[in-house]
Amino acid sequence: MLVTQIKPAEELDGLLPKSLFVINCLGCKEVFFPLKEAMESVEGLRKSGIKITGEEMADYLCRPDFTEKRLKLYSEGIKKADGVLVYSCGVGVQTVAEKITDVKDIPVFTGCDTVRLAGFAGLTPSELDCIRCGECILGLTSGICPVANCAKGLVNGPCGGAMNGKCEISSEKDCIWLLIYERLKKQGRLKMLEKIKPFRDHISSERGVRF
Amino acid sequence: MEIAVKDRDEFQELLEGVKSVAIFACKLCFKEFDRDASDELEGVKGAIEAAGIKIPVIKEIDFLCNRSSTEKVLGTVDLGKVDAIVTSSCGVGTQLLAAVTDLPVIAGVDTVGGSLFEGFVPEGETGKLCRACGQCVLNYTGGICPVAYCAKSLLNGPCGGAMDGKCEVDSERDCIWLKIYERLKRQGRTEVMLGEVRVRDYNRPTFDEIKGLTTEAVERRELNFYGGVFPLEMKEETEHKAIEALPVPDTLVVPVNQHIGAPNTAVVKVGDEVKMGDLIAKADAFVSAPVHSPVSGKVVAIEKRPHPVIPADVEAVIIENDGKDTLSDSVVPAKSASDLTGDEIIEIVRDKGLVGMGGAMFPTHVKIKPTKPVDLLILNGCECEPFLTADHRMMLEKTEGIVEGMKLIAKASNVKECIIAVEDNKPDAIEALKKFEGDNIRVEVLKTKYPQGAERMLVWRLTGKEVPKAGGLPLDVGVVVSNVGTAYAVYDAVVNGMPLIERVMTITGDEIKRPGNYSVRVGTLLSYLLGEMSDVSPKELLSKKRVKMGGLMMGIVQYSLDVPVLKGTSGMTVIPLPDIVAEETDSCIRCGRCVSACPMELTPHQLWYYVKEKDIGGLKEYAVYDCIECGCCEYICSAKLPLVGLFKEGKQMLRDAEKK
Repeated sequence: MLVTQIKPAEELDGLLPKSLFVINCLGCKEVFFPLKEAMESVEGLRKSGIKITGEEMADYLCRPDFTEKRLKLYSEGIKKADGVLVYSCGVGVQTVAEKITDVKDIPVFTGCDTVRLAGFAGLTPSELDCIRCGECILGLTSGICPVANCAKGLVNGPCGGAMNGKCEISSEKDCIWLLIYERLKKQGRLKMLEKIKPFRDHISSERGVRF
Repeated sequence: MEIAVKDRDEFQELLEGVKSVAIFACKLCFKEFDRDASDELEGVKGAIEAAGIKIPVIKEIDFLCNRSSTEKVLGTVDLGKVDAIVTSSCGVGTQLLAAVTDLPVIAGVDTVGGSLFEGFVPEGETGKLCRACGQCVLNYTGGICPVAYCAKSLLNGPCGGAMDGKCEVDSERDCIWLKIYERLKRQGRTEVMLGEVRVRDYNRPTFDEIKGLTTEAVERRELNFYGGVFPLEMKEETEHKAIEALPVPDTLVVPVNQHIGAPNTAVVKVGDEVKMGDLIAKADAFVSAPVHSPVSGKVVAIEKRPHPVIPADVEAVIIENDGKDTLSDSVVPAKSASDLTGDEIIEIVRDKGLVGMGGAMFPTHVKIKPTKPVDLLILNGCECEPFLTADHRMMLEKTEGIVEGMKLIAKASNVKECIIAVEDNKPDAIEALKKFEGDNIRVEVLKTKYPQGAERMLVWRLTGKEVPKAGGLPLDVGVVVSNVGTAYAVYDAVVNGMPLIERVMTITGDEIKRPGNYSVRVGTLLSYLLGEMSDVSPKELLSKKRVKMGGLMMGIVQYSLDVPVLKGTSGMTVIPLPDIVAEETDSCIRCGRCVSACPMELTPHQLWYYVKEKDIGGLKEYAVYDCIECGCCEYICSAKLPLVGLFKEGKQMLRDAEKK
């Protein structure tokens, strides 16, 4: 699922027009939206001389029908502005950027960087991740996914760089292959490790991308 | 969620040496409602049978990735005869199952749809992808993402390989840089594409950063109890406002029933003179609570009037206020509080018409009479509802009275240990209460989360005990829970002889001139409250805003100005009309957020379906009666469905069916 962080003010310097309409997306409410930081960011823009023609709190901007309705509701404020600043994940920003033409064809800017947590939108965030590679090998790895959870995405065993059971890239990260080994051992199925998994076919995970 | 059944030969390989399996099929998120797991389940089943393997168990689960419900399912299934579990689910569900069972878990399907795709709903619906790269470049590309849509994820312009506007890697795809250029040209700002060369930083975000965020998100989900939500508290306007007495209106409309239990009858007649605190209605049944006059004056009518909660008119005593507040002779203190026995306290509490002031209005004398042994008395100072601050101010300004009332309840219930539970958003109240900590009395500070103040969640958080569902009470696990306002009312009833005729409520929201916490007589009409507290006409407020009796989450929207304040009315909140309203035909999209948010661990989206389909069996199986109408599911619903109202309907449907 997607979580946003407010961009540092310097990044927006020189990019924004003189008047802006602001939309905050409080969607994905069970995760954390940095509302206070977003409001501080807008305050900073006001102080730098940018006129804010309206500031609205929406949710689920990624639902195109909601965004269409809302942009029409906000049209008075939007029409007074030369740009729209959206505090939302990349999906919400792109949706507004597309639908804004219904009201006024002005540039849409993002105030956030988006990062991803494991798990899918809507459901309980967890440490278990699935990146929908389309070639599920969970049956051979005791139900732990190395494609998603190994930093190198190795499918046939560990790289050997782990120290004290932790991955080379971070002492916070368990070596997933060690966990796979331990669980297979517990289940008496170490033989599974002898099965060589094929190279990942990255094309299969890219199918269907359409703008 | 898209899944595709694996090839048969893969099954052969994966199930080598396995004689019999269980299949756990997830009903999947983001799917049309009438299309469940059946297609893939049939495919998986067929493949396993073709391999000559037995399938003694098949389970369909709403969201396999939901740990608490999957663990529950495992507890109800006999897996003694199977060697492995095959899943029809995305990789998250499969991994979750593998983490909670010792049996080997084998994925029978591939999860498809692309790596790092995120579009909230199936990509087909939004068509907007975000790769969550943590370094958003949308400001340079007119709001179109090249990281997601460029096959090479180029950040500075096209590769030049496009032909006829189509990508050289995948000729079905548009060259996204062409799209970016076209939009910027249309907006007269192609120069945005230029400037400093952008280089993707593959170190961002770091693992540690993501791990920190994930841990935080999981902790919020599990904090204090499963589910719940974190709405904006909206208490800043009123939390620092001392309690003020609202002027008393000329007419009071006092419903004869302000409790859960047997109905009362009026004991006065039209024309009677009454004093403030005189008895005006009662019932003989034990589970009932008498009602007293909130003012001195004359009974001018006894008739049916609109009710703020019940959708029908109810009998009320209408009293004309003489403005004198002449006290009834019955408003005298009992003998010294310390000399009273538990039973005598209960008798006074009953006589003075005390009911649960947290909102439920359950007769207090029934609650505190120990029909079972009680180990713990919890005083509920959580006030988890957004906007409401009445209990907060009571704890600050009437601390001693609340503590004394608590001690009286403890005596009545014959309980030694007392905990005053307060959410951490009220540090001043906590400080005031801590002064009264002592033997067997302590203040427990709880992290703020809605609905921490719900009885079941509170008992769970403080004792680890589960109040039984389906009609169970905290008394069943040796606990009595009482609202701080009720505790004060007990003190007032015993020490001053005052019946429950007035209460503190928060009045706040849009167009409210002086938001604050007001002491209001029971029977004060909504029209009077709005007239006193707003410059906008009450009629206009009802139509242009939502006027709720109660708080944001569980407050009831009012459509009549003639409804009175009751003993259990904690506030009046005026909020804007919703900007998006679901149509009758709008459907749940199975995002699963409601399942994440329901503190009773129900499956709201499935209940929605069963109400729509009028499926009585389904409503029963999914335990619609267990719904506490807290509003968490409705608050978080990404389809804006009016779930609480629908579940009330569902309960009625089930009740009607059970009568037959």
